[in-house]
Amino acid sequence: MSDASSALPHAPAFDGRIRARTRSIVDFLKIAFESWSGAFGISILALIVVVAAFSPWITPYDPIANHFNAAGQLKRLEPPSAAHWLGTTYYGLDVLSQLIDGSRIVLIVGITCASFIAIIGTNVGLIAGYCGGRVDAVLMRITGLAFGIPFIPFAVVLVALLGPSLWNMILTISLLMWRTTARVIRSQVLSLRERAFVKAAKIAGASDVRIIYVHIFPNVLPMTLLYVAFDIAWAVLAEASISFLGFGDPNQVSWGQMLYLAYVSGSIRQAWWWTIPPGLGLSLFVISVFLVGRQYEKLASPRLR
Amino acid sequence: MPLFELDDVSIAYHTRDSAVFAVNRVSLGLEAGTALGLVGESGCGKSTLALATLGLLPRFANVWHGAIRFEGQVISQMADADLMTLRWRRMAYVPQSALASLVPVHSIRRQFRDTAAAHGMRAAEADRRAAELFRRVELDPIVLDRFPHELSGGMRQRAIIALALLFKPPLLVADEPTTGLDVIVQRQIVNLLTNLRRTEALSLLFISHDIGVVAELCDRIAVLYAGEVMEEGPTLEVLANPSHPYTMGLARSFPDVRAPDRPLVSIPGHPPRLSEVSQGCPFATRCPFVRDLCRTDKPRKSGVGRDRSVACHFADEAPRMAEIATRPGIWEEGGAAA
Amino acid sequence: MGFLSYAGRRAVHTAVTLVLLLVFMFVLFRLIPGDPTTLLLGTGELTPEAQQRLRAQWGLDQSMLEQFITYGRNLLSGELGLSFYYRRPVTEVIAPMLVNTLMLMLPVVVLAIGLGIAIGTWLGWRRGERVEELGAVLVLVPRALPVFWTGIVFLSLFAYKLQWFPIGGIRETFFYPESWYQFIPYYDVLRHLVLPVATGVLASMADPLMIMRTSLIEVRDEEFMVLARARGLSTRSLQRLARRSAFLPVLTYSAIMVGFAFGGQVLLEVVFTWPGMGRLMVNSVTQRDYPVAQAAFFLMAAVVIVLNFAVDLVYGWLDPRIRYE
Repeated sequence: MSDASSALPHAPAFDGRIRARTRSIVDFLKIAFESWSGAFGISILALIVVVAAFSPWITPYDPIANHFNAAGQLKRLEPPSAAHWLGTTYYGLDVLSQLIDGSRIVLIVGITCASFIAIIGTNVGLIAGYCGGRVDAVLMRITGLAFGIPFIPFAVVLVALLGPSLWNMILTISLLMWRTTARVIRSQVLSLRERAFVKAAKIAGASDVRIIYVHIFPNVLPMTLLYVAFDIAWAVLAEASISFLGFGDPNQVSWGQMLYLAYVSGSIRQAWWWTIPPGLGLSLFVISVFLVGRQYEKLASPRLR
Repeated sequence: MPLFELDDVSIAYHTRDSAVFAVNRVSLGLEAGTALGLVGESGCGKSTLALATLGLLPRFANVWHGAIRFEGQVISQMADADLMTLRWRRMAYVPQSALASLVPVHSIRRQFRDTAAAHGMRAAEADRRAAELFRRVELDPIVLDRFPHELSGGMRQRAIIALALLFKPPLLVADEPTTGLDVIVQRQIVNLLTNLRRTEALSLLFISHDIGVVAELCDRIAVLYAGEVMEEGPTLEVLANPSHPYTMGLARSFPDVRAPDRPLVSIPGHPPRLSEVSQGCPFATRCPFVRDLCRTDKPRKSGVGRDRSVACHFADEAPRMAEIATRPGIWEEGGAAA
Repeated sequence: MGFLSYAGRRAVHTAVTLVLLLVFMFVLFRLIPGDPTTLLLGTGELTPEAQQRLRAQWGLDQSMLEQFITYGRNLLSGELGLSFYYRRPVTEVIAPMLVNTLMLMLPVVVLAIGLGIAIGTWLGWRRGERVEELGAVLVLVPRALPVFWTGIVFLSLFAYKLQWFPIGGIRETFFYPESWYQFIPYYDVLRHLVLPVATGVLASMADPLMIMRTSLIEVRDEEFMVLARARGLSTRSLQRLARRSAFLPVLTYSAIMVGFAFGGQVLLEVVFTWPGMGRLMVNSVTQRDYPVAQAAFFLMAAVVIVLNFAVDLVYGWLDPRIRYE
């Protein structure tokens, strides 16, 4: 790429400064679009959000209504047709309507769990990292325990004990999944704690609470948000897994539950129109969260570019 | 033909959106058997040059323009595979931090053997050479079986110099080898290098910001600022009669044992950021003799005497400027002369 | 400060965590609606004498604290109670299932880590090249697929449609070898292992891969790598050098990974009808067979905690700097 020697000016007048990247929300969203993968991810997420928000109006049929044919028989396991774009289930329900309805759970579970996880995990991490000593030791033991407990067995036991409702599932998921966030935030706080601005605040007489939440927290916020994003994906997968095992909320349609019903009714052998869409939906959702999260991750650690 | 030569070399670091030039059209030559010292402030591009000589630039940097030549061959565009035959056999590198540069989990002996094996030398031969070289650098051969973190800074530096001499390379590139060591160890290393130059007929490219050491060790000196060569020539001459204002300031910033009460100079300001590219002389913002021309036009390299060169618009006024430069007041903030 | 003192501290740490686990489980299983005795005594299937004996054994007449101590002692010594459903001691029920679970889990973990390290190194070394960008994205895909869905898809494709592999279980009830290769020992079991192991590896491989890749990228830029290159070391030697240093974070992760593996194991066993501990646990919960559920849960959690301890020891051995923590 080198030019003819004399034609090259002494040094090209490139502006090497890296622009301030997030000057507005628009900029913030633009980051996701910077690569094709990020653009793909955010489009899928947008699609799911829209479908979930408008689901009561979009579903062609009532998701839990049984369909009968002209002879009065249940339309079991019908392959896709004009009337039912994704066919019907073993119980005569329209798959497409179920698929659309199930997207609501994805959002509800994802966002609620991620919020709880963020709150619990961040606080544990902040307090443990900042206070150190006994408090840290105790909190880290609890976190260690949370890591030691395998998630699905625990979830199965808890949901079985408390009863299979949506709330119990959200509670169960949040009760364990904060562990990763806590650890990560704690190590961040440990390094931030020694920085000059914290010491300055201390000398100025700021209370510990103030230092933690006014000074340190804003600095770990980007990391928190990043992990919150990934936690949304994990929470959704967790709910799907629990539902697949049969412990889901029977009153809600969820993609995991669709797969559960498909499996226990012995329909996976032939009913690909029933088994593929919900799983595909889950996969696409999680991939999209990853892809978008990756874009923002590059911001946090330039090395990864 | 010089043993080693930089011919109008520019080295760029590529960021996401653009490129910044750490080295800007530098031309230097090193004759066989001599030592060239490269001095300048932090960030002036000397380490980048050192890395570039052995083709060790990171992935996002490259020699954008010009050629680096060794024994007549252009090595700056050479493929890695070809460079490997030259590395360590013909050109060796002594880094600044031996602790970070030696493999932490291998013993010194292991590192000798690995290096030897990479060039087809057998372990027994490597051990023999290692012992011999350790004697040369005055290290007890028992150190060979230690790990890097078990040695003192001075010992590590000597070990790494010994390692560099494994194949008796004609060229040694040393990047700040004495920085960070205490003065006694520094003295030892400098003595060692002086001896080695004599006995091994070594050519040395010595990079440092310590003018005192360079003055002692090197035949010629090149002064770098913001990636460009300000002045170049025989060391003692350049330091005694500087032709460039920057050199004048530098020379006055080191204490002189003979005149301990002489006030030291500190050039106010700081070097420009690599991304802030100027059209004129890079030193214009800090030069006490700056004039309008300096800000708009890049000074061309001009010869001074037989074997010196300088890049300054007003090089012919050098003797007068040098005299003014001895007054410390000139170097204070705002104390410009005309 | 030495290795022993570090090991000692880690041992104490582990013991405390185990006690916490016991407390946690004690509280958890007391949450069952109804009499705590239903946890262990069932629904009146036992004779009054047996009931009395069990009451005494588990100390249900005593205070909470004493109950807890008895509880802990029982669990840790392997006295796990009686299964309602199977009418046999829990230990008898669980033991064979445990073997089956390990038979599935170990290959998955070993292969996932092995493949992860290999591909991660390959990708990490090619950082910045086209193939690496694409690879990094592709790797995310198996990670995102719900493991039970992948299992279902594999089943319907490879087992039902193509009939290359059996549809579940661990072995055929009646298996008569026909062609020569079917005489290989355990051929039948191996045949049954292929699909579940493939599913599990696909899901678990991504994490060690990404960790190895990131770790390698960082190690590559370390100064000793620069000098190694300057010394003329070949690309292969450089890779080997980098791998040795980059490998440590994967080691740490492998302990956590086992925790996730148990979760995935449950799903795998359900989808592939594999008679292992995970499936046992799910069934026993549905059947209200609490002794079994409790024992299975405890076993899994205890294994993860002990494994973490083992990994801590290995790490401390490999990297002396850690011993100061």
